[in-house]
Amino acid sequence: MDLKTINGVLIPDTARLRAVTNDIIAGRGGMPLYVFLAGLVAGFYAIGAIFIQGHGHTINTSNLVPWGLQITTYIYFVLISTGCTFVNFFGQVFYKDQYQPFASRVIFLGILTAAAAFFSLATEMGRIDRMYNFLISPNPSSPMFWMSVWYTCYFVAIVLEYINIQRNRHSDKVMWGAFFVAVITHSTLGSLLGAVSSRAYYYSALLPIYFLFIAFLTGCALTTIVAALTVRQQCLDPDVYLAPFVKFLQIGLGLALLTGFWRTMIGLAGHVDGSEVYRLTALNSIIFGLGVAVVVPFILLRLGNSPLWLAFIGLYIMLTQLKTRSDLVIGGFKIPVFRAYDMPEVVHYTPSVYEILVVVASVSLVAVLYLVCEKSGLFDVAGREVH
Amino acid sequence: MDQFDDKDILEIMHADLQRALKKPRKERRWAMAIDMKKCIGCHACTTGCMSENLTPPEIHYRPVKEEEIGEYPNTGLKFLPRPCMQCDAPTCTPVCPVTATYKRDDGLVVIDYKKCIGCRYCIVACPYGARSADVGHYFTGDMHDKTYEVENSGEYGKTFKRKSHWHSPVGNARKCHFCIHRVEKGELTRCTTTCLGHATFFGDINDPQALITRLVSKPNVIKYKEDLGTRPMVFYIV
Amino acid sequence: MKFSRRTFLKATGAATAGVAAAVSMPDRFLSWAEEAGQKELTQIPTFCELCFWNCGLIAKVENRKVVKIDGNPLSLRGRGRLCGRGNAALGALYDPDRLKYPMINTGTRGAPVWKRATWDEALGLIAQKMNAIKEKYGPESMALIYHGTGAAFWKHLLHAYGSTLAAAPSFAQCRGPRDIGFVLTFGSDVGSPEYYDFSKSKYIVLFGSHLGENAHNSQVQDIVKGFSNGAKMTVVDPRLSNIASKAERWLPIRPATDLALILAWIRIIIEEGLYDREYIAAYATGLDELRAAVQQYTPEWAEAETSISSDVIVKVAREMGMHAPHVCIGAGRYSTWYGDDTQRSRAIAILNALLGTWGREGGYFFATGAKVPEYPGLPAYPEHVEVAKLDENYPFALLQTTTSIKQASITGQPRPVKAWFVYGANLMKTMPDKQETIKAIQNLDLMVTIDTMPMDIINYSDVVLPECTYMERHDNINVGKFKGEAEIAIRQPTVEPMWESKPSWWITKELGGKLGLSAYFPWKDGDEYLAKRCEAGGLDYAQLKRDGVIIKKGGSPYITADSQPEFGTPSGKIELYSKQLAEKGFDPVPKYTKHHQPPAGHFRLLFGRAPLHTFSRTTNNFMLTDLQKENYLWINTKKGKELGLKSGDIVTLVNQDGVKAAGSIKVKLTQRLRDDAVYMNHGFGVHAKGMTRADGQGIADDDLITKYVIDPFMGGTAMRGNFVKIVRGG
Ligand SMILES: Nc1nc2c(c(=O)[nH]1)N[C@H]1C(S)=C(S)[C@@H](COP(=O)(O)OP(=O)(O)OC[C@H]3O[C@@H](n4cnc5c(=O)[nH]c(N)nc54)[C@H](O)[C@@H]3O)O[C@H]1N2
Ligand SMILES: Nc1nc2c(c(=O)[nH]1)N[C@H]1C(S)=C(S)[C@@H](COP(=O)(O)OP(=O)(O)OC[C@H]3O[C@@H](n4cnc5c(=O)[nH]c(N)nc54)[C@H](O)[C@@H]3O)O[C@H]1N2
Ligand code: SF4
Ligand code: SF4
Ligand code: SF4
Ligand code: SF4
Ligand code: SF4
Ligand SMILES: [Mo]
Repeated sequence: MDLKTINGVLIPDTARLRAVTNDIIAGRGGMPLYVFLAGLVAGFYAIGAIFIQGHGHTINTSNLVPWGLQITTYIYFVLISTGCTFVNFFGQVFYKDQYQPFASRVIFLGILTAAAAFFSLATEMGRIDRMYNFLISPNPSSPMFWMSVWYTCYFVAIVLEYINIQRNRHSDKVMWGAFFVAVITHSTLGSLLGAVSSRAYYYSALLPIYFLFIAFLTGCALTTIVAALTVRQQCLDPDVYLAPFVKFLQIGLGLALLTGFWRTMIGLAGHVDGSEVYRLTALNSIIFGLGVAVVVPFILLRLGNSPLWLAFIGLYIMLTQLKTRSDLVIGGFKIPVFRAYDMPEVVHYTPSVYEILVVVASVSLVAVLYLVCEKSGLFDVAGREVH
Repeated sequence: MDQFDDKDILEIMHADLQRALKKPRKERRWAMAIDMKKCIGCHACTTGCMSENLTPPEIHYRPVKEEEIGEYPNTGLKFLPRPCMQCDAPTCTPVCPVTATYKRDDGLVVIDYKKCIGCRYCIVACPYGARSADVGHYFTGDMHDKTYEVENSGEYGKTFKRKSHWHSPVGNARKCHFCIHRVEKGELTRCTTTCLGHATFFGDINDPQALITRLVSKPNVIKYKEDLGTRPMVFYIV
Repeated sequence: MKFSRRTFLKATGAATAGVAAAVSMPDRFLSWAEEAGQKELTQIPTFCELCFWNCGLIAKVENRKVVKIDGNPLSLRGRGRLCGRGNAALGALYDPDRLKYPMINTGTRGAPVWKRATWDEALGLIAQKMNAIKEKYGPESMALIYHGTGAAFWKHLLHAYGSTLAAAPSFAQCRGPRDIGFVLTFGSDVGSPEYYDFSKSKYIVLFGSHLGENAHNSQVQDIVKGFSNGAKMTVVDPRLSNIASKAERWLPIRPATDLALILAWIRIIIEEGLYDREYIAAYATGLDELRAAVQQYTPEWAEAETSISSDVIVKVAREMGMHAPHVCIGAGRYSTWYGDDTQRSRAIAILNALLGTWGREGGYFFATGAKVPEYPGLPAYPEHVEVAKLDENYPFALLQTTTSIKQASITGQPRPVKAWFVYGANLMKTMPDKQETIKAIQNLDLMVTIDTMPMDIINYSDVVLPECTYMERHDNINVGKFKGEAEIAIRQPTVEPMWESKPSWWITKELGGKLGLSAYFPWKDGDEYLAKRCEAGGLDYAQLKRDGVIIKKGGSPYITADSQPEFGTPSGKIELYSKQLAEKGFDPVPKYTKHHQPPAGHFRLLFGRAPLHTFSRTTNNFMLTDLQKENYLWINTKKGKELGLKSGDIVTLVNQDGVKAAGSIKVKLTQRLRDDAVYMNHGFGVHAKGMTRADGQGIADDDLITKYVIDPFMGGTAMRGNFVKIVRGG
């Protein structure tokens, strides 16, 4: 095959890209692609509406719930992205060859999900047009500022890592660099919530660690799906090639259980203003957050290891973790810090259609780009060369 | 409270204010005191502020919380009006990624509507719930181009017309700013001047003569959620 | 008829009222009356109509829109402060739901089909009907029911047309009993704003009167001033009201038993010699009869009636005695409670008399009045043809009652009433027994509503005339009597009327023209109307326009050696014993009557004011609904829990007559209320589609007030005698 590269980095071949496009137009793109394309269209419509009509007409966040589903989605994707970097790192370090067929896909997904995260975040900002203030008016005391700094570094690092993988020019430095930058970036993200002393539900030194562990879990989940499908498509031996992912998932679930459990327990023991929320949400945290979202997939993992089964488990974790992420973000606002007039004792928040469509847009963005790139052979080399 | 019985407290505070304005800004320290014994729960300060600052639906810089204490028939009732505490150690400013909200040299915690990116982090961080996100709601809906809601509230002494969601303060965080646009023109804050219970006091606590300083130096003064270390500049007289 | 205020201002050189104000207002007041010139906000003083207290306000105008408002520091009613409602002027002015055009009902009363009409058409139709009614039944069969400043023009029209039948619900549904109780005792009433000298009181007693929630502006300021000056306070209320929470003593009385408590206090004060002997000797008559009549009302007896311990009863009586005469035992305002309300008010008056509070510092001051003459040169009203008096049954109805107008409209007795003009009163909610009100309206030949909002009442009207709000019009001159000062205030437009709404001076003038009564409406416009009246009264109109008010100084507010009180009673003295009552067959000294208490499973339905609302008038005001959009059903926590209720539960209510309130209401469990009554804010539960924010929010107390007792003295309708059962679900 005639591979196109820029500076050694593979880019989708124009001819194949055209072929893929024609296929898609001709209706041969495969069902999932169309679904995600539709999702993308709907999602973009919603995002357009958010920008044109403004938050007032589209978003259900309020003073009581200043952060809603968009921030949730942002955190969700950004953690997945980190997770991809982790998977790549541990894959490279511990499973070199077994992992190689997936390396470029994993890191590519890392980039896509980071982009999707930012996408979602952008729709949440009241005045996205003023983001330049991060440059001209930075505030070094703000975790959010550092988040943005690290986020930029992180993005550069994973792109570099991707280039290296694509060029088959592995660099330990870049790999370790990406790993550490990911750790720093996303523990900073954890601190963004963890440092908020006014919200008992967030305020915790555990939160940065929790974020890293969850990042690993969700990264594993997404990459497992991709790996499972790749294994099937390329007829690799699932027992060999998926083994690392099963291991990763087990570890990820273990870590999630550990931090999730202690976060809940320590919270329940708390007696500061607002820590009632732990009691209020205890049932959900334990039954859903730990049981359904962690223990169940753990059991599922023991029940089989066929690629499709693993892909299903991956999907299962992705979905349950989305809800868990939302529970985390919204949980901080359940009990208003100041209540007057008709303000409810317990705040309920239901995202608007637009907010839901932002999730759809982000998911679809990742999926469509991945599928198109995959179809146009972007990941072929890496896969083939190891063979 | 007898020392100012015969003179209207507004006159006294007004004189205090003029004195404060003669000093350089960094030597002033604006503070508010709310006498909970006198607050009658009329909510005039809440709507007075809404009207002064043209705040949109669901944004109230100064709500009044009502709390019942004890059991019937030994029931008590407490009213807690809550402006922004203008904390000396605020939790809202350190989190702002773009220094759109910051503490001025006179202690006032302000929001630069021209800088704020609307990330709402400060809203999450304020332990008093004193901040709100202006997402661009209008009371008068379709009529809003014809009515007062797109006119200039003069907040921070500047001209802001809320013409759409691309016009600040829509998209920004908002909160009580001690009516600095009035204060710097020599007018007391709107909640002070409209308070039916004569329960709201305002002034420069760097001025030992000022009524506010005399009030807050008494022992029957508490601060809201003082244990958080935010060092509020709003004092509650109990 | 069009005129531009702006042009007028320019012409007179008073470029903006603000600049002028800067010159005339004392410097010290400018602190909160924004300096003019800094911004191009024009400042126009006017006064508030969100309730009848009518506080002075200053509108700040930019681009022909009112942007902000502020209190007018010169106003005696507000002293620069506005209450929670008054600050929401823009919510009234810019309400998108306002009545915009005249409308004619082409459907039926109660099931209206609206046709937008021109003013010409609407007024033409009204004039035609009025002429027909005059022809058939005589002019006296046309009634005006009114509440609000603009009503003056309608009364004028009514009189010019030949009728004198005008009644305000603020008499028979509000303060009538109180006024009459005091008139019977002191020969004069307590005024509005009331002549309470709270700021100087050493001891204050209130029955109900939930100040703070009831936001009488200057009065709230005074009472707070009073207690920060050290006044002690006792509040008698089944509910811990805002003001009760400030009192030394809260006496959670069993509802409907206040008279027992007052009579017991009278007895103690007489028996223990706590009354002001000199004062009584000089000014009062009937002490002996009074003493004899109250002997039966011992503290122990009162304890059984009121559930307040006899110890406390005695203690409070002694405290009153100790602080006399600097005591103010408030007469309240809303007083149509239980049917013996004039007597209860009289008992309060007597208690005040005994303590010598009338005309004394800290008690009741003598107010300074002022007069502004009518527009000069108006023709005399048509000669009044004596017809049967409607209020014959209520010998002390010193003002006409809505009660009798309603009865006469239904029965045609003692004479038919065939037309209602309803100005600024939402009668569906205001008068008790809705079905009866509807029945009366159905009997009419003409029903016209002049309102600003599409309230419940418009649904029963033939023609609806949209008045512009108080922020957009000239109005009648407002005179207020205060301590040592009188206030003359004007209302002037701060912006042009929106849509096709019009001020009353214009509507009545046009309608007058159609009725051939042009001679009675010689004014060119509202401005000229006011200017001429001021000129006739020797008032500086320019100053009035600039400052919003003119203050006139008066004499001593208290009894002094040179200022001796006069009592307008038949005896010229304070009548502790009332001969005129005896002559008319009433108890000359108030006597206790027992009222029903709620049967098992029922609660007494109590109601009161929300600090952020005025009756139904503000229920659609967006600034206020943003804070409170519905009412709650207050239930004693313990009792509520026994019933398995918790705060936020949705319930509805059924009254003793099996009438179920429309809609539902949220429960509020509270430690602030007795367990034999429930409480809610009046005004909510609006049933009017056009009121998009108010329609169907909460429950209407007025839906449940199907039973009412009429005060035989003055025709007041007592509305707190209804009992309700709580029904779960909507
Ligand atoms: N914010 C606001 N203020 C208003 C108004 C408004 O609509 N909104 N309306 C204005 C008007 S027109 C009026 S007339 C006044 C009315 O205001 P008030 O004259 O103060 O009315 P009340 O009925 O005396 O007060 C209501 C209180 O009476 C208590 N109460 C009920 N039953 C009894 C009883 O049997 N005995 C005793 N002692 N207390 C009882 C209730 O619990 C409640 O706390 O308010 C005026 N001020
Ligand atoms: N059930 C029950 N009934 C009561 C009471 C109660 O507490 N409970 N309270 C009683 C008391 S104290 C009183 S004083 C009366 C009050 O009785 P109302 O004065 O009838 O009370 P509101 O509900 O305020 O109705 C005022 C009407 O005037 C209209 N309006 C407002 N501003 C203007 C204006 O500028 N021009 C015109 N033309 N119309 C205007 C409003 O839209 C509304 O329709 O109700 C009495 N009735
Ligand atoms: S009260 Fe809240 S918003 Fe105000 S200064 Fe303190 S932390 Fe900041
Ligand atoms: S919302 Fe505005 S003021 Fe608040 S933290 Fe974000 S940028 Fe700063
Ligand atoms: S100081 Fe001004 S901004 Fe702050 S609560 Fe009072 S009126 Fe509102
Ligand atoms: S205006 Fe004054 S008295 Fe009324 S609620 Fe506010 S602080 Fe209290
Ligand atoms: S008391 Fe309030 S509503 Fe009534 S006139 Fe005064 S400011 Fe207006
Ligand atoms: Mo009233």
